Formats: sequence, C-alpha cells, structure tokens
Amino acid sequence: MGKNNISKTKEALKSNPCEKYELAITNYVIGEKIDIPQSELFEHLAKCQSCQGDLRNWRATYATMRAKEYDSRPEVKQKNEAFIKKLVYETKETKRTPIDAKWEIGSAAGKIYNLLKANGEMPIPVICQKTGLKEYHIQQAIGWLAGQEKILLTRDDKTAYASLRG
Amino acid sequence: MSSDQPTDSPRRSLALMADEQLVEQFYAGDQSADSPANRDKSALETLLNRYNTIILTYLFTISFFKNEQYLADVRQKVLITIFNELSNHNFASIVEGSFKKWVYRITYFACINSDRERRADMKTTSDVFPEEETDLSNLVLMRTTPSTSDYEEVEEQLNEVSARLTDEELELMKLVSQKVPYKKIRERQEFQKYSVDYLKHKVHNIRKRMREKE
Repeated sequence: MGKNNISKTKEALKSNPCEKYELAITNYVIGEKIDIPQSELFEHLAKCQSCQGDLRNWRATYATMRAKEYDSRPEVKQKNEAFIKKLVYETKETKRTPIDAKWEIGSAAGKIYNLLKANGEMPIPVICQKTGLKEYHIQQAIGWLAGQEKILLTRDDKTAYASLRG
Repeated sequence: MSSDQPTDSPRRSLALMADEQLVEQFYAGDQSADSPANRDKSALETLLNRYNTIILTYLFTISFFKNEQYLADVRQKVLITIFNELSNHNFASIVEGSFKKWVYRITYFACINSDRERRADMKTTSDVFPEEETDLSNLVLMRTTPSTSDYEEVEEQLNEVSARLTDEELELMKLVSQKVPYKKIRERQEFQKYSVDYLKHKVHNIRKRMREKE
C-alpha cells in the first residue's frame, strides 16, 4: 500500500523531468525538509513556467486549507462569531463631523501668533510643546499664517523655525 | 445582545445576495432609519462572515509570518477597518470596483503594516528573517504569489477532491494543514504503519489529484 504511492511517483519521475521539483514544491510550501538543495529548486523554478504555476497553485491551496482548518476549530468558530456580532451590533459607530475650519485653524493661529509675539523666533517642535496643540492643528495654522504673510519660516539641518514678519 | 438581530429567514435570503447588494442594503437601511442603531446590520454581519475565512486565506499567502494566531489578530484589524469604512459609506463600487477586490486591498495594506510593526518589535535577525532567502527565491516567490482568482479555483478543486478522499486521507490533510510535521504524524496510532517517505508521497499524490481537476 505504502509502496504503491512511492512507485507511482517513481514512474512519474521517469516520464516527467519536473516531477522531483514538484515533490520538492509540495514539501517546501508545507515547511517540510526537501530532498534536493533549495538553491537547485529555485534555479529550476526561475526557468520553468509550468513549475511556477504549480507552486502558485499549491501556495493558494495550502493557504486555503490552513485557513479553513483553523476556522473550523470549534473554539475559533465560536470566537469569530462572537467577535463579528460584537463588532456589528455593539460597536458605537463613529460618525464623521465637519470641521469648523475657520474657528479651529483660526484659534490655533492666534495662539501661535501670540506665542511668537511674546518669545520671538521659535523652533516648530517647541511651538508644539508650548501651545499643547495637536500636530495637524499646528501644521494647518502655520500654513495659514505663512499664506497670510504673518510669519517667516526658516530651516537648518535639524529643524524648522517660525518668527513674526516685520 | 441587542434586539435588532435578524431572525433566520431574512438571514437565508441575505446569504444569497451579492456582496455589492448587501452593501447597498446596509447603506439603504441607514437612509431610512432614524438613528445609526437602526441600520440593517444583518447585511453587514453577513458580509463580514462571508469574508472571514477568505481574509485569513489571503493573509496566509501574503504575510511574511505564517503564525496562525498572529494572522487571526491581523484579520480582526481588517474586519474592524471594513466595518469602519462601511459605517462611513466609504465603499462605492463605481469608484472601488468589486467589493472583493476592495477587501483584498484593505487586507494587503493591513498585512504590510502589521508585518512591519512585528519586525520592528523583534530583537534578533533570525526572528526577523526566519528562513534563509536569496534574491532568486524572493523573486520566484513574488512571481508565484497567487492572484485573487486563484483562490476561487482552488476552493472548487478542494471541495471536489475532499469529497472523494478516504477518512484516513482527510485526517492526513487536516494534520498537514495544522502544520504537524510528518514525524509527529507518524507517532499517531493510525499512521504508525507508514513511513515518513510514504506520507510525503501520499500528500503529494493528493495534491496532484487536486491539480488534475484544473
């Protein structure tokens, strides 16, 4: 019975020169030791379209088998169903709300303007620390102030600086 | 659990609907409902259940790490992303193409990000690169990454061949799917009579039967 399977492969090996690589592909994908050097397998694969197709098919098959087997375990199945139910029926949905750009960017720009007025030129990371504003608010406000020509931006190798114009 | 869960018969009809129809049903529920809580959530639940295993299959192929627990965690992130995107009506088939391709795209990017984070957490080079890989093997592996349509073909092949396997063969393939090494499989009572070589060839021949179905 056991010999039957091996002899089938041996017969195929005689008629099909790719057979030994196909057997190696089977074992490589499932992580078993292969009977030929790995470099030989990949050199052959690089040249042989048919074996490339075989590898692609076996990779897809083995991934499907693994995922199906994992999800069929009773404890995993139960966990998955519970997770999806919880996600769908119990998660509080996050609704997008429009940003009041004039107010948000304007008030952030005002804070930065007053800080620069009081302290003169400052590195931008320090402005972030001193104002406690979120980084995207700082970026929007600095962009807005620069567009209005209220501030001057300079940079050296390490960081960027902002100061009031005039 | 909340009271807006569906009964069995609408659930059956949802199972027959196409992905894009389910998305439409979920969106439409939103327009007619007084609050987000009254949306047709069963359509969304059906969609997520439909893609649960498909996402994991794709992750097993594309992730650098083949650890099932890790990939199951990545899958949860993907499901949360899909849920959030659909809740914000961010899928439109006219822009994104098919729902399936959209899901694959989300899965791909979630996998890249998670793999990157996992690599960054690792301390030793052998953990980061568990297998010795050359430029040639990387090139071949990249070239032979299954396409999304491959999984559908494979699913059919698997179903057809599985139906004709003996109980012993099914058990062998199940153990191989669990990544149990041949030496360990041989320690089981039902496989003690076989050599490791026999088991290798047995699996190979089953695989060939699947390919011949193409």
